[in-house]
Amino acid sequence: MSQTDTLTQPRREAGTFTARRRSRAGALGLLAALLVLAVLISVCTGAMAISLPELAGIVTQQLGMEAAYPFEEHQKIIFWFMRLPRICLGILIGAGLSVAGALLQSLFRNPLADPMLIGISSGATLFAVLAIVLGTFFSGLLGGLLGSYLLSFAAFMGACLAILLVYQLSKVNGRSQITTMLLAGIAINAFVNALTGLLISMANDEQLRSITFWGLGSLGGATWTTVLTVLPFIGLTLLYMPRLAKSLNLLALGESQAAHLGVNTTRLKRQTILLVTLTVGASVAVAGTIGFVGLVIPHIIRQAFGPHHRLVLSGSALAGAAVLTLADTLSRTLVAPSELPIGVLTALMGTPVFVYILLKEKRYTHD
Amino acid sequence: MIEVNNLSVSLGGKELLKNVSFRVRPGQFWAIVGPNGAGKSTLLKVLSRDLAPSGGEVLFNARPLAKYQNQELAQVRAVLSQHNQVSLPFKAEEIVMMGRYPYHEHEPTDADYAIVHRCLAKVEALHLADRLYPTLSGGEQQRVQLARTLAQIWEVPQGYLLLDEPTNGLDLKHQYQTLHLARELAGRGYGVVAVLHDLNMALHYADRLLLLSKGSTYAEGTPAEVLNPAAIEAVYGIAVQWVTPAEGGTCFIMPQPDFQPISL
Repeated sequence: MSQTDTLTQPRREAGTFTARRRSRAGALGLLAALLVLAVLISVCTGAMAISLPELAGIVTQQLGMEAAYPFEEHQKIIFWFMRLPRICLGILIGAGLSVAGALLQSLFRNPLADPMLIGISSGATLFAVLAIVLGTFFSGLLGGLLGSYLLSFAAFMGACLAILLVYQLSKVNGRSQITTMLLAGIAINAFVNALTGLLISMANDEQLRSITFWGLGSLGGATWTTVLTVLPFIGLTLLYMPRLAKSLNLLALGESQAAHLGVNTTRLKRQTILLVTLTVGASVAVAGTIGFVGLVIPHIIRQAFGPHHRLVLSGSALAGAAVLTLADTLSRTLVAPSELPIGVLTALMGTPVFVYILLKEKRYTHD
Repeated sequence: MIEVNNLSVSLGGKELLKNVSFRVRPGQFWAIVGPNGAGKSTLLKVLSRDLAPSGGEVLFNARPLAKYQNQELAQVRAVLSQHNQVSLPFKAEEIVMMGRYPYHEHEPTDADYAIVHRCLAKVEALHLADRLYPTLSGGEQQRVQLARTLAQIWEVPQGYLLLDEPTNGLDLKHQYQTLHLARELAGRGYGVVAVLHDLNMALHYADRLLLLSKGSTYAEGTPAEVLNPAAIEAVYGIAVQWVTPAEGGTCFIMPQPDFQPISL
C-alpha cells in the first residue's frame, strides 16, 4: 500500500537502526568496564593488601606461566580461597537481585515492586528463622556442617512456598491477575513477617544473634561451594532473561494489549515468577536478605539508558554485580577486622539514591 | 471474514450480550453504536479475545477464535483498546515499534523502522517520534497508539482492525482524520470494526452499522437504514431529526429543537 501513500512522507529514514545498536553496546560496555574496575578494587583491598603487579603474578603463575611479578604465598591463598569466591558470589547475587527486581517491576508494572514486597524474601526469612530456632534441637543430631546446609535449604523452600501461595491466591477464574498478585503478596508478606516475629520472640540470645546477622545479609560465608550452589539458579535467569525482553516491553502497554500483540501472558507470568523465585531464593539462602539492590539498580539503569528491557535487564545485571562487589568490599574493610552487614550498607547507600530518583521523576512529570 | 454467531456474554450473573450475530467481510467498515451500557465494548472485547463468550462463537477466517495462538492472531488483527496508560518512559517511536514485534525475533529491521515512520506520518505524529510517551497529551497518546495498531497489520493483505472508541480525546480535525483513515483502510481490503459514540461520524464513514440496545441487536444494516429517527428515539430515548445543510451535501443528525434533556 506504500505506493499510493499520499500523506506526509517520512522525514527520517533507516540508519537509526545501527546507531541504536551501537549505543546499546556502548552502554553495556561502560557498565562492564565498571564491573571490572569494581572487581579489581575488591581483589586488591582488604586486611591483606594485594597490589596489581602481585595480582598479575598470582594469575600468571596459576595459568602455568612464569610468575610475571613476585608475590607472597599467603597472598595467593587469600586470593584464591577468600577474595575470589567472595567476589564471585557478590557478582552472582548482585546481578541476580537486580535482575529479579527489574523483572518484578515490569511484571507488576509498578516501579516499587521488589522481591521483598511479594513475600519471596520474607518466606525465605521465616523458614531460615524456623531452621535456626528448631536447629538447636536437631544440631546434636545433624552436626554443624549439615546444619548450615539445612539453613540454606530451608530458606530456599520458604521462598518457593511463599510465592506458590501468593500465585494460587491471585488466581481469579483460573487466571492469575497481576494486581491481585501484588495485593496477595503484600498480605502474605505481613502474615509471614508476623510468624517470623513470633518465632523471634521465642528465640534465646544466641539464636537472636544469628537471626539478626542473617537478616542483615552477608557474603562472609562465601566459599567455592556456595558459589557453585547458587550458580545454576542465577545463571539460568541470566541466560534466559534476554528471551523475555520483548514480551516485557509489550507488557508495559498493558496486559490485554500485550496479548493482542502475541504475548502468551500466562506463560510470561509463570516464567518470570519462576526465575525470580529461583534467583532470590538461592541468594537469600546463602547470603541472607540484602535489600535495596533489586529496587534501586533497575531504576538507575532506566533513568540512564531508557526503559527498553533488552538493556534494562543486562544493564541491571552488570550494575548490580558491580555495586554489590563494591558494597561488600566496604563491608569487610570499613570496620576491619570486624564486618559491617552488607544489607546495612546497601540500604544506607540505596536510600539517598532512591530519594534522589523520586525527586527527579517528580520534577519530570510536573514539567 | 469475522463471523459472529449467536454471541452471548454473562458476567457476574448479568447478561451483557444476548444472541448477537453479524459478519465482517474484508473491505467493510463496521461501526458498533448504542447507548452507554448497551454492550459495545463487551462485544469488542470478545472479538479481541479479552473476554470469553458464554454462548455462541466467533470465527476468524472460518476458524474459531478460541483455537488461535496469540501470536497467530497478532499477525492478522490489531486492537486499539480504550485505555492505554504506559508509565515507563518509552519514546513514541518505540511504542509504535511494538506493533512490529510479532514480526521479528530479536531486532527490528530497517523495513520495520520504515513502517513505523510511515504509520506515525499517517496519524500526523511523526514530529512526536522522539518524545517520551508519558509526556504526551491524551490525544497525542491516542494517535501514537493508533499508529502502533496500524504498524501491526501494515503488511497484512486482509487484516482486521478492532477499534474501541478510536476518536476518544482527539481534537476535531484528528477525529475526522482517524475515521477517514479507517475508511481508507477498509477501501484497501481491511476489515474494520469500531465502537463509535458519535452517530454523525458513524453515518458518514461506516459501511455497515450494528445498533445495540441492552445487549441485543436492535438493528443492523447501512447507516442510513439503521439511524432513522424512530430507531434512535427508541434506543437512546431522545427525539432527533435529520437535517440537510442548505447548501446541500450529507445530512446530519441533531436533537429536535424542543428537546429537554432533563425535566426539572
